[in-house]
Amino acid sequence: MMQAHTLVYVIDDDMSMLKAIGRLLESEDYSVEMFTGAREFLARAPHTGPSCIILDLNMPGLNGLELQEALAERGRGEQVIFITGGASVPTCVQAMKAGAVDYLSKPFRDEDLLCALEQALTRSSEQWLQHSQRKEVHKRLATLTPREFDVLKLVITGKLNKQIASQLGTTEGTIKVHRGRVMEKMGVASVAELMILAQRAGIAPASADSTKV
Amino acid sequence: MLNLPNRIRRLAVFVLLCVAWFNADAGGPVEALSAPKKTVLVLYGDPLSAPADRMTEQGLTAALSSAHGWNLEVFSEYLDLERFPEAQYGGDIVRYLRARYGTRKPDVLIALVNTTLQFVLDHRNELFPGVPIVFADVDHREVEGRQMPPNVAGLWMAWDYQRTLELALQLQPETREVVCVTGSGVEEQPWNNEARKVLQRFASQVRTRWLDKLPLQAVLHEVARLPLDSVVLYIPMERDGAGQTVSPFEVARQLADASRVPVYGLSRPELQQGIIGGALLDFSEIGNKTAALAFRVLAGEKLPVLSAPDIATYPLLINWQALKKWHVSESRIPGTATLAYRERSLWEQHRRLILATAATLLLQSVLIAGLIFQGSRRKRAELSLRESEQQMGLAASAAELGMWTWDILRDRIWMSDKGRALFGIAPETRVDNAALSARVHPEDRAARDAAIRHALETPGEYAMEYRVVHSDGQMRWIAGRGRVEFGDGKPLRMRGVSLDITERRQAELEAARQRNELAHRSRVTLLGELSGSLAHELNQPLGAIVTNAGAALRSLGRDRMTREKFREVLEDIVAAGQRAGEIIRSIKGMLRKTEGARQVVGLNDVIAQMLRLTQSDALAHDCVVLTEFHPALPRVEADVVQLQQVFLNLILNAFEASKDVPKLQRRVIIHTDWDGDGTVRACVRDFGAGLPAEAPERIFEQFFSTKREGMGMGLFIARSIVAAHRGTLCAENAKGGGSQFWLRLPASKEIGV
Repeated sequence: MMQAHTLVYVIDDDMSMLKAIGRLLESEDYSVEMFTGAREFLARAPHTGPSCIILDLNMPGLNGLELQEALAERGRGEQVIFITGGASVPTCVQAMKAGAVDYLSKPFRDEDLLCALEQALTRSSEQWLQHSQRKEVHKRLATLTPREFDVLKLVITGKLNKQIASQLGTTEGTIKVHRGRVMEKMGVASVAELMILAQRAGIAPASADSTKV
Repeated sequence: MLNLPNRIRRLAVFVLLCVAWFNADAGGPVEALSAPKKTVLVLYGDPLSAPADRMTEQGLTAALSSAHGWNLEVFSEYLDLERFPEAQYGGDIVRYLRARYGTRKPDVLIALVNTTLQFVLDHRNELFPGVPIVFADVDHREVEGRQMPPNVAGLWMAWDYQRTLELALQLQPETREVVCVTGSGVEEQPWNNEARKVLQRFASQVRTRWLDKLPLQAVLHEVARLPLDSVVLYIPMERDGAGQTVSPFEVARQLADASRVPVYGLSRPELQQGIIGGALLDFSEIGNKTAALAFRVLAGEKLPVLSAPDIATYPLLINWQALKKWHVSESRIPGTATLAYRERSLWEQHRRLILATAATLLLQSVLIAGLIFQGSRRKRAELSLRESEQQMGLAASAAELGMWTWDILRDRIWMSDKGRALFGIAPETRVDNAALSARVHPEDRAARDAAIRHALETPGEYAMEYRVVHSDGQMRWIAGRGRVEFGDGKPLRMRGVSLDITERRQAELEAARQRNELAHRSRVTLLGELSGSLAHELNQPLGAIVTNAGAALRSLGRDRMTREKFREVLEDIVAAGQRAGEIIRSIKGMLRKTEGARQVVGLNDVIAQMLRLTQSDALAHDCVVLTEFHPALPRVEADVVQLQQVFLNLILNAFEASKDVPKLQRRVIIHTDWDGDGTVRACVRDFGAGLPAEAPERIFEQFFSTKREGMGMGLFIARSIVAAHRGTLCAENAKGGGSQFWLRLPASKEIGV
């Protein structure tokens, strides 16, 4: 799997803070994009690759917590680090519950921000990897015919061709041809590999009853 | 002359000398019809000298200015060498006097006070060689032991201990002890020595005790418990036993107040301070006699170096009220003595009232007669005028009003007794505008003079409130109202009344103080409510500083930042630091106590400043603040901190009111404008639930609060602040929901943005 480009977003309505964080991150060779408001950020197309948002909590218009919520609704997986001028315990709890990586009070130490950022990007890379793998599996699955898909679901239960044929009401030879096509289309050489892919794609092995024709 | 045998010889010689002058004077003043101009230069001590010196000066000035037969030009200079002793060694004063009087060389110099005489003698040859010198107010020992140059003559000051002690023993024959209260300074030494000599002569009758080494407080304590067969003789004190400089007249008053037994004194002004009496020196007489010496010198007469004032002419005066206070019998008063301050009999006290009543009756009779026999309307008018004047007089005294009439052409002021009391002016003394002006508090003097000038120039009314300071330091507020009467377009006289408004002014000041205090406390509370947001507001620039500095440090280690970039970072750090400082300054400013001092400010600026301070609070309340500022708003005169407080209050209230509406509707609009005339307006509008419909004005009441944590003082104080600025603050429900607060203030004369 190819290594995707990572990107850090900074969103703060305070220009001086925004510029300062931008400088810090650039000095550490991060790719940075800056926004002075949450709406401007949402207007931008999502990045394809690991990413993290350094997000000011108190902003006019859409505030930090609200943006976090909006991203979740859209199913976007950017990792969030909150920064705030006046920390209050309830907002902190809410932010962390909603999945924030960290919550930093201004003024914070740059090591703390960089450390949180590393953590966030690692998490995002993993997530991105999984996401891209899942996407690949789905892409391959999409090439299967419905009959092949049925065969796949029975293969990953560990059944033999003969058993599958009897369950699907066809000949063992036909199943063998289907199975070969499935293995080829999914790009695997063994049943074990196929099982891993299926699991990654979230395909449940067919139960004896449900696949009965 | 009665007691001549008891005097020492020298004194007798002086008396004879005095007699000799008066005989000389009896020949008549030297008349000079076409008299050549003579120049007199008077050199005084210090301009704010003790009352005694002032009286001498007044006597001298009066005598010089009313000189008949002389064409005099009089100049005065205050050398003030007592307080600036170093000046007498430097040549600056000499140079100054020469520069000034080089072309108008004086014909006679008059020097008052030891130091001045000393100076004149030391520098005579550089200053005005050969010009005759007349001196007074000088310790005679300075002169006696000294070889005097020619043409120097003077008068020394002498107290009449002899006759004062005789008076004491006559009034109180049971006296066994004379307690001398005096000072320990150099000034008093010659007086004390003289007194010791005189007291020697009474040694067979009374003991003498000297209280001259004690601090004033100890002296006062001591005289309060003297045995009843003693009397106090007060020799004017300039410096007490502890070396503290004191006011001699003030000491006389304190002594008279404290002493258990009668206090006898030596100078006339002490009588008013409550001493019982004595053979009293009138200081203005010293001035008078000095002037007489100067005239004789001008006439070419040769005079002896030292002349004594004729102490036999010092009047024997007794204070009737002190007599009563110390229970001294009136029957022993010698025929030569004069009683002062006697309480007046019913007739004396109410003579005016009785006369006025009688006069009214009489005039009424005249009126009736006039109506019957002549039917003259003119007389009737005159009469009712006079009647109304009298009634006015009665009303004025009942209302504690001091009345006065100023004859502008002659600069003489007639004042009622109450009027004199208001200014602390003794009865019977002559009053002119300068004398009144001198009693006005220095800070108010210019304004009062301007008000009078204005009334005289633009035919009209005079109205002024100002402070007067009495000679004992007491300060009173006076309201003066007057009207100028004109003749031929010229101001002739001004009539008016004065009223003591001290209590009212004090109450006003106290109310203002309390208002300021309350405003301050409420401001502190307000900032307390805001503290969370303020921390946020401060952390913002602090965060920028720390992060910027961190970025710079990291780049520095790797040498990756260009100089240009580096400069940018540092500039941003500076800007953020200044922003933090500004926030702290404005908080500090708000926490400061103010005394309501006004300055001219722009309303827009005040509002903008408060919006910066509340920026984080607006965020916390999800409120959008919109401003509609008038671009050319006239400025207002205000206590800036208090005005800030009013807006802070209104802004925070608007945020608070916005809580109950959905986020997207939370707006606060601040609008300023002016009516193009004299009123500037500001409106703070929210879109909240609005004011209680049945009584919107209740929000301005004390302890009215809709906030759970609120004390309900905010708007009450805001309104009282605005009222103290001659403005109004009111509230109403706005069309389209929410409430709006209107603040109106008078525009300052100055136009600006």
